[in-house]
Amino acid sequence: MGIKVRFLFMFVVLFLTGSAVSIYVGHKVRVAEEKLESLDYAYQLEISRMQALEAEYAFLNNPERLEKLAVQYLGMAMPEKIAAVNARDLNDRDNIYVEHLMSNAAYGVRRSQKRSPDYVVEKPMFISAEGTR
Amino acid sequence: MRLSFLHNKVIRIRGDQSASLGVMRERLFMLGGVFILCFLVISVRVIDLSLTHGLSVTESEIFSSHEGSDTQKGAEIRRGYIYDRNGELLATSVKVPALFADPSLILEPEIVAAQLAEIFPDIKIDEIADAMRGTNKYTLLVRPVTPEQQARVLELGQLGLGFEYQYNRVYPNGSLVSHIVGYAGKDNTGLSGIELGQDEILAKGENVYLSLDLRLQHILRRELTKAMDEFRAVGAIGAILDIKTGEVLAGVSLPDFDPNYLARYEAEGEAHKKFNQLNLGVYELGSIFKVFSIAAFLDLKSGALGQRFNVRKPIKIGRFRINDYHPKKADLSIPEIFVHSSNIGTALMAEELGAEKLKGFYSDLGLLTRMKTEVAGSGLPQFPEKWPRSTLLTVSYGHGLSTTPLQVLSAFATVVNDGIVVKPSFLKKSKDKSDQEEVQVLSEVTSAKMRKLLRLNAIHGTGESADVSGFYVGGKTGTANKYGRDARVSSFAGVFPAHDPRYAIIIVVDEPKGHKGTYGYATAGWVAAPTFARVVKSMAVVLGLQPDGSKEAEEFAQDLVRYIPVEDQKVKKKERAQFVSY
Repeated sequence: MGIKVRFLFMFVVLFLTGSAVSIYVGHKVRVAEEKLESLDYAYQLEISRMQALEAEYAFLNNPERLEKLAVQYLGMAMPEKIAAVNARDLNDRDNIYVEHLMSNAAYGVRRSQKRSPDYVVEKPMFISAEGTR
Repeated sequence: MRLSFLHNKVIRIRGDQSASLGVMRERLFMLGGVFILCFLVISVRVIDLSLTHGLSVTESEIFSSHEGSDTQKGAEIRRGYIYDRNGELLATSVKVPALFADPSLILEPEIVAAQLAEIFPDIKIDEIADAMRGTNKYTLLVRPVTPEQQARVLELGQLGLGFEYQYNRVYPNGSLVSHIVGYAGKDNTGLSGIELGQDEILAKGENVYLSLDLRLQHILRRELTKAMDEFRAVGAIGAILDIKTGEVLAGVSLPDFDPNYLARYEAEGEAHKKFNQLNLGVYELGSIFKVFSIAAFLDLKSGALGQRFNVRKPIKIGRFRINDYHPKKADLSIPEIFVHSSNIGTALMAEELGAEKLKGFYSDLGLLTRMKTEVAGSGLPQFPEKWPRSTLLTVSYGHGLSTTPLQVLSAFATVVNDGIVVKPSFLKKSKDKSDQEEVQVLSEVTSAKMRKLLRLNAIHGTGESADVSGFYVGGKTGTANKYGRDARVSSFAGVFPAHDPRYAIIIVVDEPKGHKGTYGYATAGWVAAPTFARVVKSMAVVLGLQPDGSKEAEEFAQDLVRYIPVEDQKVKKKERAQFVSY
């Protein structure tokens, strides 16, 4: 009799404890799941916002739009007056200028080579038209 | 065993009665225990439900009525994005609100439809009212909806109206790449261009990287638009091809359209703007075909450049005559025929070659079959099935055979690429070298001769205005008249640098009209060639290409100059050697 009552009491206590623990764990899992879902949703939301921002960024960087703005606000234009020149095509007066440019640009051409027949610079140079005249 | 009564008397029960009473008590105890257990379980559950589940409305559930998420709906997959070769976004999917109705909750559809018509001017009241009379629980009414419109709909306070968030295709660059990228329908399936051609990949959510360079695309479109405006043309087409890899760096077809506002074009009767002339349109491109015919003659007939042809008299075929635009009373060498763009000379070469060989060569260049690219759809070349003498002669200078401009550019690139077939691709290639199988249709020697001829034409021929100092352009003009009309198609196909071609470009202007500045002329030399030069100048700046000053480049094709009589040589200004407007 006494054993039975004790057994029943223990069973009830264990059952209640087990139930309480499982309910607590279940609750924790549910909370965690909700948090995960919430985070996942927030992540998706951020992705969605990033997509919108990326589209907006692409729209703002449209080359046609940038060109218009550059012309309108920065006064930029295609480089019309840049000259492409090969040193070997220049006359004597230009050669002096090229020499000056080259020494400044540390091209490594010595002054002694100035009048050398081999004084041919294969590397093309950009010189502004205004600069040479 | 004791039982207590009111008078505190103790009655002792013994024997069988005592035993049965004990059993009863045990059972009662057990039953009570079970009841207590059930009560406790129910109590705990009630506490659990009321304290935890009652408060478990998640943030996402609150927001889901505001902005849907992928995890909530699960079924909707984001369509892949489309980028250019530098990672610039060309097509994306953004979630936007869509207005739907639950007809069972709409009491007066006509009134609600009228209210909605004030917010959405494009909708038709009758159609919306009919949609709201249905028996179903869901009817999509408007998509996409702007935030302002959404706010106004909410102000109506109609229970039967609601919003859900759906992916909507957005093209941030509008019409700039419209014909190549194409567009997707409301159900997010591709309907044209890359959207259709690569639909399977995009539908899986995978991104697609195109070979296009948005900066070059803009340059090409800008210059073609200028040419269209200047010559009051009905259309213009252009493409830039990387010869080494086969990648199409830019492809433009004008007029174009903004894929963000497709319905507008149908409504305004401008659906033709959605036609991609680069891939789908077929044109007779005239003298550009002389490049292919002369290449065929040099390669298959082992023709020598010095071989001369009598072009003094027009060729008569029945009641038709083949004339030259600039008639010459002389026997012309092949370089002369090329730089003067002699129809007669080219036709004589084709006659010597024969229809079978010329047709076979055109076929090898891919000019007679439908070209397949990653962009959906391609025009079918138009030409007579049989090539009698009349067809052979006219086809040799580009009349009687219509192909897409992209096909011509591909064949042109093949001719200068040591005869190795260049297959255009709109997808970015990972390696610098093309991974496609190399097919050679022309000898390297002939290809080198053709490069020189093209360069010669840009120095002393019809393509002079296409040349850009330091970049050694080589190319050929083409002006074809349209049948039965006083209209023409002016085109220019060119490469640079001619001695080692890297880029091939085609410019086609449809029905240009001459003006005072061009003395009334609207031929390719006035229309397409200068446009080509402007494109080269701009793209050189963008790509950081330096003008080439090498001896090899400078002297390339100089050995052919001896074929051109001095009086026909176009001596350029000193600027060729010195200062050049860039």
